[in-house]
Amino acid sequence: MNRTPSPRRPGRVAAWALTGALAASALTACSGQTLAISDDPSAETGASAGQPVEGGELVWGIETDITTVNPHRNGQDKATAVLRNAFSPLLYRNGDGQFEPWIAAGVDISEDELTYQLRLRDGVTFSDGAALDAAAVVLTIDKLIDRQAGYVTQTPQGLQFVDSYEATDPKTVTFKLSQPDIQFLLFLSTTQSSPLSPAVWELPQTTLEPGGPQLAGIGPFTIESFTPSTEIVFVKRADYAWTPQSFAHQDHPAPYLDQVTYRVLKEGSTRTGALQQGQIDVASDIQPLDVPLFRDDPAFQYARFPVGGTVYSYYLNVSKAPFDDIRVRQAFILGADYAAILASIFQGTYDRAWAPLSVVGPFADPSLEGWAEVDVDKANQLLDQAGWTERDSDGIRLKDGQRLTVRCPTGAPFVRESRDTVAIAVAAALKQNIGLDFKYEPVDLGTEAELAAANEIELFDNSYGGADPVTGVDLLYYTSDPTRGFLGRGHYDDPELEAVIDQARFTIDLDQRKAAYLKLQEIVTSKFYVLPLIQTQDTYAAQANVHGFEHDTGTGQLLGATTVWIEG
Amino acid sequence: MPQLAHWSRPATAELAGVVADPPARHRRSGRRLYRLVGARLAQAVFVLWAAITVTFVAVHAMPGDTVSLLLGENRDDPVLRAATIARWGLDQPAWAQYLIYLRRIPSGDLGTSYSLRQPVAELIAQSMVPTFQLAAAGLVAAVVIGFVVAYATTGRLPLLRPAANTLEIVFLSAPPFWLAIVLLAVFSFKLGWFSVIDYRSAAGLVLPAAAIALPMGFYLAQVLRDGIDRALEQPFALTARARGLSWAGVRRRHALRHASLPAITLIGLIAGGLLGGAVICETVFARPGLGQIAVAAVMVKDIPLILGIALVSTFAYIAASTTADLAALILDPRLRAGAKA
Repeated sequence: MNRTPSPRRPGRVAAWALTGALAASALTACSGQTLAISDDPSAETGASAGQPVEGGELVWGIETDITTVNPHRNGQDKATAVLRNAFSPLLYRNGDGQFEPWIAAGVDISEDELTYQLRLRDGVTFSDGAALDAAAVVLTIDKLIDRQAGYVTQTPQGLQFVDSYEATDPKTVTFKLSQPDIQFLLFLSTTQSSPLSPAVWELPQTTLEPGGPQLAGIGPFTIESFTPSTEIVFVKRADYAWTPQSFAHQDHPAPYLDQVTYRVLKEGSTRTGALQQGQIDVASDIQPLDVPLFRDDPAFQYARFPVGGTVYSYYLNVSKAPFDDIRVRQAFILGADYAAILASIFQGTYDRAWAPLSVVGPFADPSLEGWAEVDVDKANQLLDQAGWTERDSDGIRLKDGQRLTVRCPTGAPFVRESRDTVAIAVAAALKQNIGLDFKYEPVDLGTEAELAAANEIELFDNSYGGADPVTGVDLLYYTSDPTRGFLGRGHYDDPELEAVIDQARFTIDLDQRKAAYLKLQEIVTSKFYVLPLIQTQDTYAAQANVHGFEHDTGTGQLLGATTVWIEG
Repeated sequence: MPQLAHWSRPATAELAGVVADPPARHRRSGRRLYRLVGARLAQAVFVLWAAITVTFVAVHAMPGDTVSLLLGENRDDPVLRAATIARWGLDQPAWAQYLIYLRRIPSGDLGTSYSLRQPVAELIAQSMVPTFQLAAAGLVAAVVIGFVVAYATTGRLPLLRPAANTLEIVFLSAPPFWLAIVLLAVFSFKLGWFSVIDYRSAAGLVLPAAAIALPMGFYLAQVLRDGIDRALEQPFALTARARGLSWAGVRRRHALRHASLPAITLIGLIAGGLLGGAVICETVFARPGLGQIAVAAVMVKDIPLILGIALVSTFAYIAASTTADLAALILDPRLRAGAKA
């Protein structure tokens, strides 16, 4: 755990360009590999591939059906790496928790963290030729903040405390906040704030909202075509010249490839088969069983790497029986050998998570490793103490005639990465070990929402990605305020916890945030609110002649196709 | 006359009998062509209305509040909520939304998709092209398979029948998605003959069309062969033979024609239901089309899109069965005689 203080206190005027440069010197040497858990040394990106080659077309098979290519409207975690090809953010939040300029030149922040002067670079143009100036940024923010117009239904959380914003000179936008909020800077680091050309706002809503070739933004590629559920084709923008300082490809901001096609192949076996036959060059999200096909074959490369945010976890609903009793929560967490279950299902292609926050980024807490090792005897004792002493004919514990049942309805679209298989194994282990009836049921989203609203669930499973855990933490743990704790199905309503969440969110001081997130992870584990299970990760496999995969050290995800090239 | 062994399973024989009825029905329901068309149009309007109504009730009975689903994380934001309700007309009670929807249909306005934010009519028009290509290719291939197999197996090559029967059982009992996956695994991923990525060219159409055509074609072959067998038992077959017509000639010029009637009705039924097959094929072969957007629409409860797809697929069904009835009319002189009388 890196607890060294950040080189500069954030908030000092014009600190960023420098911090960025410092971070860059450390990162460029081993960009991508600092984070990659590679099962195959030969998969190390671009290690011995020689000089990058210009040109070529690449087909990339992806699992996620990207619903819209409008960067402001798309909230899909896995869409980020795709959409960044055409829509670069203003800032970049790196893996150290620092912010660097991207298509902006920098931000000057007042001491009280309430005034932000966003400076724009000279010579930046949208793909339709229009210049990026303060007026264009203001116009984009106008659209994002206007809730009446209904352009975005996901109102950016980052704009919540923005009191005013204006173009204070042709290349500077000044934002005034009513209170400090890290969400604001994070928002400026996502595609959801990526400026669009003024001409875009003249488009009819039915063209604007789905997105497509007409959405002129600023990115290393432009969208050539978009066919929902099928493919998105990007073509190179040769004059693209802006890149964060910690990226490896400083001297080559524009893409090497002439064209990249993201082909939606929802079935894992289809991506595998198509890659094996050379019908596609790269495939994302390789199924665990298919990993050896690519890892062990020199004609291919395979990599898996952790991503940021909150890890895949079980959130225990403390507002009702049986988990209102901390002893039952502890028994649930100690009652099965989760590590062994994951090891047998994933065969080493996924890692067990111990801490609630990802290992990616500055808030990882490795000290939590092994905090809840399996202890079946203790779990049974705890349940006996809690009064669950009777057993029914199935061997399930009873208390006052009630069965010890834990229901976990989950939205079927979110069931991936063999989560259902894991749940089946967990249910079998819990029934056998401690007489607990665990019911994991994939249901449609409407049913799930209704059950959650009626508090008819005992357990909620979720992983939430992103460059910073702040959004996921609010959603999952800040349960007393439904506008923040939208996914707060654990109903913790814990003032101590929420005070820590606020400390981590309403500041841009990295040290304060680190301390708060360590405290948060201690609270939610010591009170047995959460069982972290699987370190969320991304994977890809590719033909051996494809090189140059680079990672976003903040989210852990791939950066996109900008740095990728094909060996001739 | 030679008695041919009766190979078809009883179910098929019954079906052949059932679908052989339409001539009689036609004579009852309309003596003139325009009457048939007129009745069909009235029927079509009624069926379309019923389909929309049932779908409308069903999607509204699905759990989940539409406004909250549209808003996601922002479901508790009063301003956004009000704006969303106003934009999508959700302030109206369900029956009023239903009437508004019905009223807009004649002008081609099927609303805007909740999830894709494009006009539903436009989305369907775009997606219909690849689905229609797939369905048409599958149908043509199925008809070819059906007639070739039926004709070949009613001839005097006794070994062909058991072989065709085995294939029939395999293709008819295999789940459609399994067949699609096997075709993909063998011919695309193992042999590398067809690319799954390539959905624009004719080559990209081969495997998905085969996945549709094989079960359908062999089903058709069963019905056709059964019809041929029955026709050959009729006295006219003997008469034709007695007049010197060759065995093959009787089969080709008389028996096949008789057998085609139930087959055409069956083709109409199958063609109308092709959208269901397209859903599976489009998913497995990652092709764009109506099936893909239908699945996505149901997953996210995109009511305007679900309704639009229900409308179009019902229309396709009606169009296909009407076409089949008209084709039967052209093919069967008895029906034409009825129409002239």
